[in-house]
Amino acid sequence: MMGSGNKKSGMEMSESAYKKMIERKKRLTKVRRWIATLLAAFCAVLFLMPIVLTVTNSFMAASEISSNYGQVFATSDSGGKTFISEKVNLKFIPDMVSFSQYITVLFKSPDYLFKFWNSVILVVPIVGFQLLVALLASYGFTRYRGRIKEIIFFTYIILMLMPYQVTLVPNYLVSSWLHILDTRWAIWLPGIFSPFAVYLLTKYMRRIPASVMEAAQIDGAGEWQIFRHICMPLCKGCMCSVAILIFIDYWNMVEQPLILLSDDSMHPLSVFLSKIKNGEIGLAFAVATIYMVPTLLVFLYGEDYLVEGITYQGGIKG
Amino acid sequence: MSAAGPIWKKVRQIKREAKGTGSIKSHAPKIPKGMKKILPASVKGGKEGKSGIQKKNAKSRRTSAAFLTPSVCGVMLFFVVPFIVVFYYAVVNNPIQHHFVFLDNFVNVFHNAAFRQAAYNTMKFSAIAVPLAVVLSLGLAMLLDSKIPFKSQFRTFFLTPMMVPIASIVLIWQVLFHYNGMVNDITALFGAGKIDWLKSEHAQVVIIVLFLWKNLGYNMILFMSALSSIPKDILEVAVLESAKPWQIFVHIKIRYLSSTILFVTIMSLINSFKVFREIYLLTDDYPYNTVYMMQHFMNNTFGNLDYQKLSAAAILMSLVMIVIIGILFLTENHFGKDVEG
Amino acid sequence: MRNSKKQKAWGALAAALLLTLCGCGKDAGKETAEREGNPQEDFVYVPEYLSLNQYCENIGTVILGENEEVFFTGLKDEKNVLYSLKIGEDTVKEFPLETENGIYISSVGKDAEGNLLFGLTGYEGDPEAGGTISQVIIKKVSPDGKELETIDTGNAFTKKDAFSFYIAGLLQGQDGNYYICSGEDIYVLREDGSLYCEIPVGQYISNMFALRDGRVAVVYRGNVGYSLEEVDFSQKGTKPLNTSIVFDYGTYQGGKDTDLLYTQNSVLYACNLSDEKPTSLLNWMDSDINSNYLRDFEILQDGRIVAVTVDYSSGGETELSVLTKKSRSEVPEKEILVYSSWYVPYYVEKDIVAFNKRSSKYRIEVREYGDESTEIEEKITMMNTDLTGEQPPDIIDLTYCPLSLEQLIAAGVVEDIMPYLEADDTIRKEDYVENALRAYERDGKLYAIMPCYGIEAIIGRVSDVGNGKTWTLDEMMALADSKGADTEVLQYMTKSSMLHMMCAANQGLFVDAENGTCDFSGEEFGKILEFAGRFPADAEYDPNAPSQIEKLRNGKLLLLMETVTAVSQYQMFEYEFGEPVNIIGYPTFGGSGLMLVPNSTTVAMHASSENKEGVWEFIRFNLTEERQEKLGTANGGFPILKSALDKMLEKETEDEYYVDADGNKQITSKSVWSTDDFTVEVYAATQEQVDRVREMIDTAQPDIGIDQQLFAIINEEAQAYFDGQKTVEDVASLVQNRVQTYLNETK
Repeated sequence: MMGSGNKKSGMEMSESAYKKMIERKKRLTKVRRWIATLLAAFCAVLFLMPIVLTVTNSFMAASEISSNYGQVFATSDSGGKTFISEKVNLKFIPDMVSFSQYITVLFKSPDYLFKFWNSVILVVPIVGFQLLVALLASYGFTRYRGRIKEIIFFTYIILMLMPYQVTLVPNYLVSSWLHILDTRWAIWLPGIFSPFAVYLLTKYMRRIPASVMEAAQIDGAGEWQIFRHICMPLCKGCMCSVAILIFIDYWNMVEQPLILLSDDSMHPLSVFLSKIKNGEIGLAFAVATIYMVPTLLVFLYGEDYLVEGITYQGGIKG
Repeated sequence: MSAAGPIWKKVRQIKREAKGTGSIKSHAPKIPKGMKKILPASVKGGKEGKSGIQKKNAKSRRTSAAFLTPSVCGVMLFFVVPFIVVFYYAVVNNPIQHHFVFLDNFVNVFHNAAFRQAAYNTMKFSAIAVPLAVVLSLGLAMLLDSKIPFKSQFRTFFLTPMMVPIASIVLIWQVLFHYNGMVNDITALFGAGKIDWLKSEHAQVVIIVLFLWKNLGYNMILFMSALSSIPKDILEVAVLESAKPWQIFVHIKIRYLSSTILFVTIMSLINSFKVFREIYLLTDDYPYNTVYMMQHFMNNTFGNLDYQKLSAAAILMSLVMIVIIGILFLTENHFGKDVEG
Repeated sequence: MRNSKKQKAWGALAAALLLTLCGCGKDAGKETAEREGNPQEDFVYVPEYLSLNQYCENIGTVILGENEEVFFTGLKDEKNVLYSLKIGEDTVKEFPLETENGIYISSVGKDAEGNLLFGLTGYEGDPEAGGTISQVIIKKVSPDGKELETIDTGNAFTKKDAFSFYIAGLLQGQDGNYYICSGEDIYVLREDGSLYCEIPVGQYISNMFALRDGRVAVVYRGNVGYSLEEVDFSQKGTKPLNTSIVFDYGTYQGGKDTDLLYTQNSVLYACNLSDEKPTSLLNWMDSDINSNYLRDFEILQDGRIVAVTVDYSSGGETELSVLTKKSRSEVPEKEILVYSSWYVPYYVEKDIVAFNKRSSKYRIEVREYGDESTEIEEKITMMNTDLTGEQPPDIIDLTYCPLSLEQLIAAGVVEDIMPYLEADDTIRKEDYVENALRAYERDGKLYAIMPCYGIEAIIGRVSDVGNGKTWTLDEMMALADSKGADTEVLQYMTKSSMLHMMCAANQGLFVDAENGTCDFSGEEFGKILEFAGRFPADAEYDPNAPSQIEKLRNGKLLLLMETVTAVSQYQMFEYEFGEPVNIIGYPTFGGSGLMLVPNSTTVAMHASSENKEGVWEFIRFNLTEERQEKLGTANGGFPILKSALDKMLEKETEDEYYVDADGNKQITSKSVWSTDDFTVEVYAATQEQVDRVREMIDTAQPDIGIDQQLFAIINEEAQAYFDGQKTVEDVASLVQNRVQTYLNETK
């Protein structure tokens, strides 16, 4: 779609000069494209390396792992990390492909699968309900913005930026007041009410022209109907991308379960992963690979939404 | 007006023309033309008396506030109440005796060398890492925006770091930056001496690289979508007007991207606080002083039962945060209006 | 159309999410319900204790009789005496028990009628060193003290090694035969004492007893759990008893109303072999009875339960407990004091049980954090949140607490006990050893008192280390250099443990705690690194290596590192080295190098305890003269009460005598130090040794313990030096950098 102004300015140029310019541009573009592709490829290698390493290393036998990494991850008696003199080899391709780590994880000890299931139980409700609560709240923030709402919204942003250590103790206290300590509710509830999704969704909704909703209002639609039939369909893409972000965030949580769930059997797999001990590194690679699968699926399914869903975002205020 | 006239002036002009149809084209349901005209009138109409619309408006205002209730209640309970408790801890001598000491804890913390070190390091880290993350991800986005093959594959590749569990990242980073690790092997090829990366003046490099590696992909996506929403016609006009690429970039793209840049800055700021988990797993409670971050300070004071120091530090940190966010708000208000109108 | 489909999909999704939430929520709810579902039993067993040591100091054997009485044997005027005591009464009857010289009562049992059986053993040579059995006699005595029969087993056991043969169990079955068990074997003797058969079971027999129906059963570790088997008289072997109950390690005996009565994991069970599950009767702990000390127990006709406990760790204190079942409402409630501990060593358990028994007002309950599988970080978090939480413990154990006293003080968790000490009219501060009091004193406030302590020191030959009282690292290194390369300096010392020791002894040199600064740039730190670097990285126990004493005597081992808890250790060390020794501190750059370490329950009072009087009651309990005089022997260590210390040291120099057959006084050993490799009889110490120990106590510095975090940093960085990767200067500057950050933080 071209504006009418374009044609006018094009005509002001001489025909041959215009052609020459295009020609030169094309040649230049070709060289530039090559350089760009190479650059992109180089970056891609850097970005992919850790994930490839994780996957390939998961196919190494325990003996190979320990000969490669020695005791990089050894800890001293006092719990600190120790310094290791041995050479550390980073290897991409296993000498011999071994499934032993996977066999251990999947068949020999049900513990890992159990913990995996724990992760699912903890994360899925958080993603679902945080989205739901956030959708409602964002709609509230979007319609009829007033001073109070702006202040609340600003508070949300500040709360969102707080490091976890700050609220750790008070969070524990609140959970114990509510008698939800050591139950999954202690993880679910703060997760569900986290301001993160509210922030993203509000930013998105505020980009939807007010006129769209106002039009429906004039047609006699109630707030709920506007929310349900106009706002929600418009936010589908954004919801997906927010869901992905929440999922990744909680799928990797470590501190919350450690503090709020004293019962080991309720801990998600991510907690296990962060507590790898020497000798379990091989297993850790396999577990990490398995742990990546759901994220990978979420990505494959939602990557387009991730890109599309954020199209309207910009600025903190919108 | 000649064709060689300043492009940015035109941009604003064209932007104004494109407004309303350009930016929400693909999503917004088609709005009947007449509606637009009615709308301002009906709003104005409110002034005239107790029309049905106004009543409805007031009711809707209340209803829309109701939408906030679940979230606000939850946030109050799980975020605001804990924050108030933090505030309380910050003004008493310790969580056992509860003697009110007013600002003593703040003074203590402010004079604490470790706190200063941590604050300095954290600020330095954010001040370097956040702009770098913005610039580099914008670069990546531009790279993918040029017509190169396998665009969508590259995009996916750049996103993969988001998927890798933290523990694996730490594992691999430890191997890479180990005293006898790969990075030192590579620098040795260029004749450089061995560096114990995490225990040297260069330690921040390691965590900045980690941060960038983890966050560039997502930032890039944000920029890509913003880039793609720049109306094509404006760019074409610019090309035809023989604008140099840098001119296009500075005068058109940056203008259009300004609000996205601010958004990415905020997101990167959030993520620069989250990267602590990695730094912590990578180092120790008491790492080399150049990577001793605010979160180390908080984590350690928590471990040492020093809640009053922890809380005071947290409050100080939120004050800084409020200032930074406030500045970003104002900046956005200033620049945002320029482009968005 | 499409819309409604979508709506349904959304609805389904929401419903599914809701279900997961509810489902899991319910699960969690159920768990808590179950936890609470264990209703507090509405009755308790109220114990009454009676110490049997008041009647006789050295109690040999003890057993409960059939008619509500307890029998025990002991020495009175060098003669064996049988005592009997009716339960509920407090006067004993005494019956002389005639035994020949050189014959010892080694076991007591019962026959089917309730008569007592004594197993008497005579030895040839020293029973503790290669002697053999000369004779075994069974003496049957009626409950009223009449000797009924003396059965000589002839040569059934003669020539058996005295070390491996010991009558662990003795009884007479309904069939009239005598059963004796020892180690892994059962011996069946006919009524006349002749050996009928010997049944080896191949496993250590933990119990032998008669079932209600008269069959003789034994318990030993089987393939799964413990197996209960009956002695098969005709087959001269054992056969399994038919039961579906799974047994574990415990104390077993035949019951009166049931086939079996046994204690397992401190719970008393009764069962018939045909039962599917045993009935649990009580938990000994609830009645302040340490089940490990149980000797015998019985259910009386009226339902009371009697138990006899012998506590060998406190010199064989024998106690009779009578437990009466009462409804909870009848029993006056005691105030509960919560004892928070990282780990509960046996002596803490003992102190708590002793206090609980004694106190009519308070009862201490232990609160532990997590179990064996809990990660340290988690435990620390649990402890932190507990200490600062809503219901904090009253008593905090300091010996194993991961937080330093400084941290606890800064957090306001611990209370100054000086006011309590000053207000107490029986406990006076000046009666206690200053040096030991100082260990938990900060800025004029006192946070804990260690009732009993040891001194960490290094022991070496006078010819090697000289007669000095302190030495420097240079001197120690020179000594090590003067010996061959095959000479170990200290056994099982690693680079890390050496580093730890040196840093602990010289902490003040590097860290200025007052100003919060540190300096590792001096040459001393380099020297320590160099010295620690000489030790191996790992020290694994080598079962084939020569014993410690062998190495010491061959000169292959130079020094010992020990905690000195008694003067008599001098004699043990001299025996081990084979020549005069000097006890000296850790090498330092000045200072004594001797470390005073707590060796008993050392606790602090929680600042927000609602029962501070009770906590002080517990703290002072271990400081009383009576307790102090006992603690030294019970725990090993020196009492903090000066008068008790004086008494203990004075006793060390006194000779002990016995009267031989001719009526002459002969010097005898006071006690015995023994390890796997050697046994040393200890005689009176010299005044010189006693003086040196006293001097050590006065000069030793209280070991406030090197800060764990500080050492973790030093140790981590030092590894790079040990591995030859970095220079001393590099390591020192890294340590300096990180430790300074740490110190800054706590300022």
